[in-house]
Amino acid sequence: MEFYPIPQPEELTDREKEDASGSYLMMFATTALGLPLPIINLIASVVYYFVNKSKGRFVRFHSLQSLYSQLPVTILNSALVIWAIMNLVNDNPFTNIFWGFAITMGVVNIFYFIFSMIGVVRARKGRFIYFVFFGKLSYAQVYRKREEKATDSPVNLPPKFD
Amino acid sequence: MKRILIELAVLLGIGGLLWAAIAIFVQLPERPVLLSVEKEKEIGEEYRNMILTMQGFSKVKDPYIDSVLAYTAKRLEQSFEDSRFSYNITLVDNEIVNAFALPGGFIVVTTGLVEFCESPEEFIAVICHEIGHIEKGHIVSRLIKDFGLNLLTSNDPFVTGEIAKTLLSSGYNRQQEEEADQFAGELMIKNNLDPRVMAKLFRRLNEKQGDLDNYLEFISSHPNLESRIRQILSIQLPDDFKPSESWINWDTFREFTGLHADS
Repeated sequence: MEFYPIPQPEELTDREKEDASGSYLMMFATTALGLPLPIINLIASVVYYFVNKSKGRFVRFHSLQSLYSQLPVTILNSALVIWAIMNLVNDNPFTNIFWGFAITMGVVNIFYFIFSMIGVVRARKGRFIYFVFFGKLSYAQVYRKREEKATDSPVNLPPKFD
Repeated sequence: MKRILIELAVLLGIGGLLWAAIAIFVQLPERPVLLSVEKEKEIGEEYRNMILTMQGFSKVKDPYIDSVLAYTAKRLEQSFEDSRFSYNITLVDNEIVNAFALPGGFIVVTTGLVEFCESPEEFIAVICHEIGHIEKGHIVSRLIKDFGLNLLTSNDPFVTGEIAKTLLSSGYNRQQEEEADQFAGELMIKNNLDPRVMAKLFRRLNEKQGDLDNYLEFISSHPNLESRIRQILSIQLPDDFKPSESWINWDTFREFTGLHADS
């Protein structure tokens, strides 16, 4: 696998650094809108990625890392909310399994917040931060050189009749 | 690629272990407390007072009856751990066979119920069942579901009156009734009383089901009576369990109740 070279901070414009750091602030979209819906954060991250992905690999990397890490957090937070509502509506007991999941999600959200804040600061300085798993995934997707298709074979071919 | 998958496995492993550890070692309430004890007592007393002003629910005022009910409440309350409330039982003059629990430890029973019960153990079983509903939080959760927390804590007398009327009929689901039966059975055993008398009571009520006007709460809105009777009869008694008589002199109690009941 070959990768494009990683830019150094001095090679990046201030605009790129700002756009990259902004991607980690999408987790506050729900708060900004005042609605208790975790899905809004995910939607904001998706929109941010597609709007900014053409602004250079550095911005694209941070936007993608923010999006990828936001995905499981949103899904699990939504699952927790739905589970709690179902328990309340059906008068089911809140078992230890539920509380274990709720507290675990609390810890996950705290860590996600901390790492996102670190991401804001480092991206603003033109630096990289690699989240566990999501960092390598995003890097591989953004910086890996795709194999170029052979140019001697024609692209358009006539239909087959046999 | 392999490194990425290893990191994913580490993330999932840590998350899973944390979930399992908390689920095993942390004990948290199965039902969240949506109202404080003080607030629940306050609204329960309000509903009780509201009900006592309704036609057909005048309180029976008799020192002997009050002392028996107060002793019964205290004795039952002290026989189980972590009682959330100090219980208060009120007897009202009403021929309908009924008993209903209010938030905050207030229980209202009718003279009709006293007349119907053949033994003090049956009467105490009903009280234990209502305590079960209160301790398990069934009433508050039901009211919050039906009315919302804002209305429940409203000081508007009209709202309070409407909510109080709701409490006169049983609105519990099957699971809540079974939980209250189970709680009542355990509380009866702790007081050396045979819990299976509940089954006898339900059976008699069931046999008289045709006259629904007179047998309001326990039959008409209580689901699956046969399965509840089976559950009560299958309550496991301790090996050395020897049921004793209750502390209520039933003949005297009924006599005093009869002095105040409608003819």
